[in-house]
Amino acid sequence: MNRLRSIIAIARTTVIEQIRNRLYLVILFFGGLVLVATALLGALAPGHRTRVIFDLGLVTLELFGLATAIFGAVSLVLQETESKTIYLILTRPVNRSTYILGRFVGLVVAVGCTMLAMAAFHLGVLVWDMEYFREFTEGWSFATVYPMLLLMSMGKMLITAAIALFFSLFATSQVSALVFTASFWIAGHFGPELKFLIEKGSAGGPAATIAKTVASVLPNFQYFNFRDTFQLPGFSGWEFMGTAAIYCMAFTGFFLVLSTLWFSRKEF
Amino acid sequence: MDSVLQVQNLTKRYTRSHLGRTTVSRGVDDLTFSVRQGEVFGLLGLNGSGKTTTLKLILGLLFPTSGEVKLWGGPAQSGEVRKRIGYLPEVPYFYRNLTPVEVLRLYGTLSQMDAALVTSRTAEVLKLVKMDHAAKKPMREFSKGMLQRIGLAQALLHDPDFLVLDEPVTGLDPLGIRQSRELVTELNKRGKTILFSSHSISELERLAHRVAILSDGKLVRLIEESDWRDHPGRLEEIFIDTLQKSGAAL
Repeated sequence: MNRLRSIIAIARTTVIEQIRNRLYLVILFFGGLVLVATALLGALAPGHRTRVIFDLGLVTLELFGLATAIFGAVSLVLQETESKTIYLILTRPVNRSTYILGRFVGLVVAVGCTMLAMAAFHLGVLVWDMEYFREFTEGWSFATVYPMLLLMSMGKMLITAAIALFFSLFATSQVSALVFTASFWIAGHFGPELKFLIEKGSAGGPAATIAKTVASVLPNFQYFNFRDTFQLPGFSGWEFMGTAAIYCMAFTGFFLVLSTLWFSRKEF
Repeated sequence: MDSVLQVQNLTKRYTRSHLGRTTVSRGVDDLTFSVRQGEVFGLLGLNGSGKTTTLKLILGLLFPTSGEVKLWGGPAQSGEVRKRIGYLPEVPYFYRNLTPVEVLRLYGTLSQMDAALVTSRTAEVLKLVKMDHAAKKPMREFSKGMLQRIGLAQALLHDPDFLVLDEPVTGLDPLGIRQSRELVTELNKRGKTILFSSHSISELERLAHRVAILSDGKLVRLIEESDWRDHPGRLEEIFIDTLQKSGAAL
């Protein structure tokens, strides 16, 4: 019970800190600005106006969500260690795993709220012209697809935040943690291609084994690719969602456990 | 008299590897001392003598290479023990965008206080350190002295039995130093045990019951209040003399 209270207290502080952070507000502001810009771009594509706003808006939402998650995760512990604010937390009856969990939960809540706010804004831009919007959604259920797409983006954000948190624990600078996390995020979008290249390019031996191990450690964001799959014949929404949820929890959990193990040995 | 803190053969060595070369430096070496219930115990030494390292080892921020730390006879890392410790770091750093009330609510919850008690104690300690007027201001607007007072407030919030104060008068103006001294005296009168590191001899002379002199990570002398009481400047003489005898670079 005390542990849960501590996690909530650390998470609540993280949310307040994030929301009052200037960098966070700047990212949010630019996210809103890009969403407005999608409406202007949409005007340049007559007949596909809503499609452009829909596609570009979702990409913007995901990228800005990821940016806040990565910057937040990388700066949270690293800055706290550098500024020594961590001393006053770790000298209290708080397990180091409690601290990591609290920080992670707080960050995810803060970024989740940002993404929801941006999604609300995006929806506002989309339904601005109801006639175009009705035409665009003809033949598929927007009310089901949009929340699913948002959920999948949040799943990717969760995994990326866990990876960023892990790298921030042993990185000596924010830049190196950012580079490592960004590399994982990029590689995560090319999982199948990477596996294909490894299988094609190597005839076996230790190099192939190492390459395969590396590929299996990298995240595979194909599990979250709802957009390209939901209109395929025989598509099962529950199966897709279940697989994505399990993958997300397992990958996030794995990196949180690694972070906790590393952090429990860290000296200040 | 019962011991609150027992430090037994405590050693800390820092190992660093760079480009295949490993270097080992000494933090503290074979420290043994105890702090008795109800006393003010001072750690005195030059910069880099191992005072802060000792405190960090006691608080679990560093892990000992060998030796052990016991608080109330048990392991220093247990939650029950930590609930009874208040710590003021040399320069207390806080979340810049948070207010003192928000920060104290966090530390109170982490110290396993219930919500109603956190609220009432927050008001009490802010008044005690004379910061109640700034309770809802973001701390990025605070001076070093104000932050030091908030540092003291968070150390006292959960009414700990044992206070660990690392250079508590650093950054305070003369009035703040006097108030801090009065507070330490008052807390000790109320039965609190205080471990106090400083390189301010005059502060230790006025406040401590016993002083351990550290030099180059080693405890070179442990002295009792009777050795300097009623002899102004005596502690300074003892300190310089001890360092000269220990071969410290002066």
